[in-house]
Amino acid sequence: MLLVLLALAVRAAPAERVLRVAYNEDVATFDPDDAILLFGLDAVRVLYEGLVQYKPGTTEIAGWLAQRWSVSPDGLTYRFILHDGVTFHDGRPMTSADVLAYFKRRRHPTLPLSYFLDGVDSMSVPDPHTFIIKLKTPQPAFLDRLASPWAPKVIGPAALVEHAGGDLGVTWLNDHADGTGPFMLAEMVRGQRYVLVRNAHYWGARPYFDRIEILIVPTMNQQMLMLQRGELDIIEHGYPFDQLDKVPAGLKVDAHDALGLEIAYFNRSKALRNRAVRTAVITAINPARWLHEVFGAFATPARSLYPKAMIRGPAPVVFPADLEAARRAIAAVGGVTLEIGYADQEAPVQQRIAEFMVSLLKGIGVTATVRSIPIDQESSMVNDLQRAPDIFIAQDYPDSVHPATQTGVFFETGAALNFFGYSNPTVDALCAQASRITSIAERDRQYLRISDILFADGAFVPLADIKDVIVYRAGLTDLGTRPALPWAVDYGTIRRQ
Amino acid sequence: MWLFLVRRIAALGGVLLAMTVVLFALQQLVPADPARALMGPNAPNSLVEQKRKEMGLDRPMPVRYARYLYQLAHGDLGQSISTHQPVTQDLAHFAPATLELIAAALLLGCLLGAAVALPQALRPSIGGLRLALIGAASVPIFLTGLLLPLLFWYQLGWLPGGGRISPDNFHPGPTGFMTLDAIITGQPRMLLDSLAHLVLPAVTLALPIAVSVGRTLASSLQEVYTQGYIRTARAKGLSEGRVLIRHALRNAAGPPLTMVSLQVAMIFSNILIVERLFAWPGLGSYMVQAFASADLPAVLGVAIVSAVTYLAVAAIVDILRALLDPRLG
Repeated sequence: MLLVLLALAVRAAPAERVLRVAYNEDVATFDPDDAILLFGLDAVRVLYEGLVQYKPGTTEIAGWLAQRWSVSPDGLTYRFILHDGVTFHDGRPMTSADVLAYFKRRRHPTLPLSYFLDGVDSMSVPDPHTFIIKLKTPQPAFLDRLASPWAPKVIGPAALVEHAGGDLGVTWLNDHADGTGPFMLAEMVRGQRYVLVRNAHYWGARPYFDRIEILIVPTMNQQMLMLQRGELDIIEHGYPFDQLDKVPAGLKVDAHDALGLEIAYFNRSKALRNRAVRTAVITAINPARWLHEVFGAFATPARSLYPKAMIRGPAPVVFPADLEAARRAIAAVGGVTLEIGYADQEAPVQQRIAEFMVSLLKGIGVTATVRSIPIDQESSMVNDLQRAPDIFIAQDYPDSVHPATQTGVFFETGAALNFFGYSNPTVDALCAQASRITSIAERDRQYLRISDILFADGAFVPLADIKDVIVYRAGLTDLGTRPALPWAVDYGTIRRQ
Repeated sequence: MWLFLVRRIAALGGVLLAMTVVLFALQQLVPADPARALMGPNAPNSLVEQKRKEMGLDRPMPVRYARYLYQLAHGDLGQSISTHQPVTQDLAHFAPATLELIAAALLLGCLLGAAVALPQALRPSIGGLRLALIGAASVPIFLTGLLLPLLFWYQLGWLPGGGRISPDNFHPGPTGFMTLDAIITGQPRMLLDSLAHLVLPAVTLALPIAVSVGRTLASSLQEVYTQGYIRTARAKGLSEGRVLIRHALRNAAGPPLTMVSLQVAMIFSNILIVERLFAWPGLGSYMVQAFASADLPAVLGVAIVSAVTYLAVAAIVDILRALLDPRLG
């Protein structure tokens, strides 16, 4: 009797136009200048809007709050013409002065994502509909930076004036939102759920769903069961690859190209200092030997050190294939012991790859062990290369689809995620040169050349282009996924048939 | 009694101080970078360096530790890296969920333990329930936490498989304890819903407690029943129920109460698993996320709450024992 009563109590009213999704973990904030993680991007982009965005399914840039824009011939001045009739969530109309006030905030160096506006010289608003950004030097990647999922997105005066406090409104925005997007933040109960409700006064196309409920469900096992029971509508990330070919009836799978590239980073300070050993190891860990077992049909061999959604290299990277030569090279140095580290934020997949590598390396006489590296320790590996693993494998995301954001984060000297401190003046010079090229074809050729050098150096080994996979309940359409928008659907376009 | 309380509080202070020293020292050994965690993986090193200075991470450890102690003395536990909120605010938000779950598990564990122990003590030949409980408690807690929702939520649909309350039934209240808030705000549906959400995680946590408490109580009762005053009570014509309640239980309560206080320490380690499995938004979930973000202020905050709770429960148990048995007072 008690169980029946309890069961009746938890039975929710039928959900009309409610979309339920889950995050694996809490997000710190939806503040677009402070939200650095991957979970939460889907909510941020419907609470706030930027000047430009990538079109669904492409890497083509389209207007967003800006109905059009122009770039001066010297590449220094960007003039954005803003849409009419845009309002903030509290109903106040948005003008170029609001955009300017917001961009000033974004540049504040205490905010993590302020670096997106590095190189901005000045900003101005000649009239209420025009916003002008002037750069110090031409940056062909600038528009991509503005279209990135982490790009500046306009916050309204409720946060920046009324609730600014002494910290640019950071504290207030931890629990509130004040944007121009099609949804408003109605509830933020940390550890439990966030609720977005449709903005009835939205200036653009009306979203189908009235309400988005984001639940915090830490384990994938539970998310999968909830999806099957209809308690969730979508799993945006983390559905196990080995179960994607047998999703239960009533569920569908969307797999699309993304910017997540699996790379093996080589620590060349220890056993891998020896070029012959590096070549032997690269021979053994050829992704063609394990890719299908780990990812099924949801990954392809990498074509370069750039995701194929960024630069489509002509063909998969060619790995050395002579395993006998690899065995001889290892035997010649009297055996090799390696430690493989993997990024623990994607632990099940990364661990599986690492374990495959261990067995493949054994085949050429290399003894390898595996250890997980927490995300907060990844960038510290460079400080002690002797205690760092010999190989680190990870799937990381650049800021945008412009290749400069990939080289600038991973490959250049002193780059934030240049895990083992690789430094090559030739590569740095080529990167600097490439970042100034405006012709896309020429630019891509230059970056592919850089990729070849890095691979030939045995510093970075491109392994696999991994698709973003979304599992959802049949009947949902117009997911609005984008290659440059990791782990997210577009709540503004998605609908139920 | 006052001397006892003062001693307890002094011990608590000592434990907390030692704990902060150990955790600070451990932080030095772990090559984590809280500034990087706060600024994001792709942020340029120059920005991260600036943040490091801002957070005082460039200063020597003793200086940082002294600063932390100073803030702690003023009730400031710092700011969480993973939530960007003051840790005290986070603790106030997450602790009620955990404490409510622990209270439910302890209550359930004690009731189940008593249900095992009493028949055992009165008629030692009855062993079915005890066997069943021992069997259930022998299963590792993560397996119980997986199997119970599979059966009662996924297969039968009788109980919710995770979370603390259904969104439709949530009405914020003053305490953060869902069941209490439901009563205070007069929301019967919320009360039933929050109880329904409590059942599976509480049972998962309660099974090992029930067996430990039950076995201790049973053996304690069996010993008490051999005592002369029990025979005297029976000879006076008291019913078995009155003998049990007025004489046996009171004298047998010491060891199981001690066992309860020991179980609290075990609950705090199990809570990390159970909260994760049941998407329970408490300190365990908060702690797991804090670990992943090199979030020392949050980790220390949770450790302090755990220590305080454990010592408080131990103190309450000691007081109860003293009340039940004046010789210990």
